[in-house]
Amino acid sequence: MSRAADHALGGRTAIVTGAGQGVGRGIAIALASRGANVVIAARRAETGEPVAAEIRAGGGEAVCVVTDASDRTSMVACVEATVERYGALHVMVHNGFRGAVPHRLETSTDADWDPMSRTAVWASIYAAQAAHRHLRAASPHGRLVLVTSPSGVEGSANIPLYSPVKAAQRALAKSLAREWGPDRITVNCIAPVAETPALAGAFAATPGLKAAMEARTPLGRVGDPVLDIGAVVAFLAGDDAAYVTGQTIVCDGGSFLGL
Amino acid sequence: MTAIGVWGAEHPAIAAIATALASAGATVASAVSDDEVGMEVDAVMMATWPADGWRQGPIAEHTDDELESLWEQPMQATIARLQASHRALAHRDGGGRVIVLVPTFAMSGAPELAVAAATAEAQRVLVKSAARQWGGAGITVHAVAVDPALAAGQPGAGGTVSIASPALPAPDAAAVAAVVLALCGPAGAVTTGGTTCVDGGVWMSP
Repeated sequence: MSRAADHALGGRTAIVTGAGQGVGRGIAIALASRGANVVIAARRAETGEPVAAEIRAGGGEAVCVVTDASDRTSMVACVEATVERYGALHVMVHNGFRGAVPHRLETSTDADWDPMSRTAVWASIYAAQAAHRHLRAASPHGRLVLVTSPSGVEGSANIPLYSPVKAAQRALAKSLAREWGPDRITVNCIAPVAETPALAGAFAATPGLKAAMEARTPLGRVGDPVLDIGAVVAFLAGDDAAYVTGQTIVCDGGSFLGL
Repeated sequence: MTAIGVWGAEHPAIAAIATALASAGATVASAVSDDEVGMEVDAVMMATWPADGWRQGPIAEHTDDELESLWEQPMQATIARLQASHRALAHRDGGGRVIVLVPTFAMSGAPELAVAAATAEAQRVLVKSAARQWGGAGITVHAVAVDPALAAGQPGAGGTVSIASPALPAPDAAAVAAVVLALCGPAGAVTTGGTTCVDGGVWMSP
C-alpha cells in the first residue's frame, strides 16, 4: 500500500488519533507499511479494531487503544499504554476531529464551537503534553504532527468557526517547533484533502461535486488517504524530514496555494 | 466623526490606544459587555489581552484551568463580541468596521506562549471567516497585529518574531490608533479580512 516499500520507520512507534477511518486510517496504514508499530487511537473499538487488524493482515504491527483525544486522562492513558507495550513513542499524530457543520458566525452557538474547540485545540495540546517526554526520550526521532486544513489559513465562508481552531493548530505547531527544537523534536502540520468516507458520501449525495473538485485541482483528482496523505506524514515521521519543523504541508493536489 | 466601541480597555495598551483614538478626533467608549456594544457606533475594536500579561511557561505544564484562561475564555469572548458587533452594524446604512488586535506572534508562534499564540492566530483567522460572511452586509473585518511587547507589557514576550531587524522605530499606542482610524475610513471600506502589522516593519510575510 505504499509507492515505495521500505522500512524507514522500522523500530519506531507511532500513535494516530482518529485512525478508525479516512485520513487517520490512511496515515496509520502508511506508517505501518514503512515498519512502524502503530497504535490506532480511536474513540470506538468498532472502528479502530478493524484498521489494526487490516494492518496486521498485511504483515504490519498495530493495536487499537480506545481513546477520547479530547479527554486528558484518556490521552495520557493511551500514551502510557503505548510506551508500556512498545517501549517508546517516536511519533504522535493528532488527526481526530469532530464538528464542521455549516453555520453563520452571527448566530453560532456553543453547539457549533465546543466539539471543534475540544477535538482540534484541546486535543492537540493534550497530545503534545502526553507525548512530549517520550518524544524527547526518542530524540532525534521525536515527531508531533497535527492535521489542520487550508481553511486554517484563509478563513471559511461556510463553517466560520472551523477556521480558527485549524489556525490555532498551526500556531501551536510553530510555537512548539521553537519550544521543542532544543529537544530535537520536530512539530509540523499537514492540511489534507482526500476521499474519505465522509467525502465519498458527499460525492454520492451531490452529483457533480467530485467532478467540480477535480476540475479546480491542478492535479485533477481527489487525494487517496494512504498514498497521498499517509505518505506525507510518513515523510515527516522519518529521518528525511529531520530538518523540517514548524511547517504546514498542504496535500491537496494544488487547490490551495496560499502559503 | 467616527464612533468606536472598544472591548478590552482594561488592558493598559488598549486603554492607551483608545485615548489616542479620542485625541485624533474619534468618539470612543467601552462596550457595555461582551454581548452588547451599547451605543451607536461606526466601528468596533477589540482585544483579549490579559491586563497583567501572559505567564510564560512550557506547554507541558499547562493545567486545564490555564487552558480555559488562555484559550477557551478569550475565544468565547471574541465570538460573543463579534456577534454583538454584527448586531450593532449589520443594519446600518454603510455597514461598519470590525477591528481585532492581536500580537504578531500569532503568525510566528511563540515558545513558552504556545497557547497564547494559538489564540491570537485563531482570532486573526476568525477575522477572515467573519469578513467572508459579512461583506454582503457592508461589514468589513480587519486584524491589526502589533508588537508583542505592546500586548504583553514587556519586551521579548514570546521570543523573537522574526530574524529581521525592524525597519521603523518601535510603534506606540498612537501608531496603532492611526492604523485603526485609517481602517475606519475609505481604505477599510474596500478591504476586508486582511492583517496590517504595526510592529516597526518586522513581520513582512506574506
